[in-house]
Amino acid sequence: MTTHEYAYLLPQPDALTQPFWDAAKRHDLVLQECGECGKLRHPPTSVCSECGSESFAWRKLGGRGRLYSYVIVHQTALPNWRQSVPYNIVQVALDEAPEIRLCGNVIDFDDSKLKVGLPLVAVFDDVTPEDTIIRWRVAAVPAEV
Amino acid sequence: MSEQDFRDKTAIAGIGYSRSPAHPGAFSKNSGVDVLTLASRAARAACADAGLDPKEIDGAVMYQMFDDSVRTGLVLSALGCRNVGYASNLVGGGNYSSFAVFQAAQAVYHGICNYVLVYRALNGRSGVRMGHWGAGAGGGSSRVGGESQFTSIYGLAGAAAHHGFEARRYMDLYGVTSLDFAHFAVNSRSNAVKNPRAMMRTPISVEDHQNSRMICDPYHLLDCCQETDVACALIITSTERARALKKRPVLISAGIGGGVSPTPNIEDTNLINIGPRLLQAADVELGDIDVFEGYDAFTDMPMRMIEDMGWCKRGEARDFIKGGRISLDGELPTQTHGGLINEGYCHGFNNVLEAVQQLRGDAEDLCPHWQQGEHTYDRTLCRQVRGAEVALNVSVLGSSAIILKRG
Repeated sequence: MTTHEYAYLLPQPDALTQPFWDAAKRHDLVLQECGECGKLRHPPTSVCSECGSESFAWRKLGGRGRLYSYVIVHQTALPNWRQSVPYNIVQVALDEAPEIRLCGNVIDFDDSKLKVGLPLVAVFDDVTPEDTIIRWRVAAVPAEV
Repeated sequence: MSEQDFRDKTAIAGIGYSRSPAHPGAFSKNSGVDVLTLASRAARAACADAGLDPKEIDGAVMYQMFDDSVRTGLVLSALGCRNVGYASNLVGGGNYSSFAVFQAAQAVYHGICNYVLVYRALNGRSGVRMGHWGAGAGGGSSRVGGESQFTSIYGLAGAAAHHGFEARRYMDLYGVTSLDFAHFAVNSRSNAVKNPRAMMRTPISVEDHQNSRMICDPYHLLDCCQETDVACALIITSTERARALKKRPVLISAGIGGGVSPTPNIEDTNLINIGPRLLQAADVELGDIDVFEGYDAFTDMPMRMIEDMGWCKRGEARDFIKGGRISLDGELPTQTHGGLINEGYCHGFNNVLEAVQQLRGDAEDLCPHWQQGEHTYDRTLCRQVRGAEVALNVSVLGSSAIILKRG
């Protein structure tokens, strides 16, 4: 699918966020890590809230997390999503940094079985030749939710 | 200088809505006028309520989101004010509905101003719409920057989706259900039925709530407030000056909160941080609070506030709100005008105005002489809480809060 054909919104990276999306394209999940105290943060910012340091690096994470919360959209102001309702949007707490929550969608799963706490694994969705966005798949479905 | 010094030294002297012949209740889907007109109507109505010449106003506080309103300079100019000593244009929404009041009160308390106008004015339905919050470029193969590049790309837009995460986590962790929200919605509507200003006045049942269409699971239609065109305003002055004006003053006992909710988890409200300090600053106990007007863009929000203030434990509001406890004759009357969900959405500011009326004893309802403060307490007509002396008003998620007292 070309960028022109993809019906949904795409990220517009800026200087701070470009490395995040570049990594996604390599199918890596990276987060900003403070160059002084090592605290992870997201979305990307220019300073560390813990120590005030302006230096940072990008750290690769394992791409595993837990379903922190979710909604199932039935009515939306986004015109091109109207064809897709109902669809889920999730927040994921990362195993390696539970205080950080990433937004996304859970794919290949029955929305009615979503439950806070479900284990999830990152999926790198190459939605256009230029863009890869991160979605989520349920890692192991418990026998009975 | 302490909270004790500030306590009860300032007061709300008058309130006003942007009423017009076309929209006698002020709240509408299409005001047909610009936001300055709405703000001017509400400000002049607040002055008339207080018995104050608008030209006496010498300060103003407003809040706006997405540049959807008119700033203080324009409004003060439209009111003919020539002696302006203080103004504040806050960039924010429901997080400032309580904060705006105590910011204005501080300007009066410190002697900078005599009469501060506080307003929220918006064409929230016919103009800039909250429902499009985060919608970014709107659609098509376009790109979004800022925080939206991590959210809107997954289909996130609008308040129901943003706040639905909080509600869902609260429900899953504490076993709260949509049926519990229905009971809250029914109580609010039963009050709105007796409020001539309210946009939603048809009685509803728990079944009606459950059968209403899903907007963004977990929110049904009847969990949600609606985008509204309206302005609400009030006048703050010293308690001493207020006593010389027309209406019984409503004292500002305490206010706290910076318009943010830095809580560990999204199911928390910031009342876990500021609640105890607010009570202490106002010198009241939980049991002294007669009326609770919490920011109710969605039904779960005030339920979570009830828990975080300490009226019951986390997850127990589902039982607390049943059995009439939050009704007009209950232990903790809430959303006495129907709340934002039923009266209309003035970004929380109408909840402040409602608290003022309850404390003055002149809640606008179907009683023939409500304007004179004569109430029947016949609950088919009357929504005045008996002997209300202390009110708690909380902005979105406990980001700021005030305690008001009958003067």
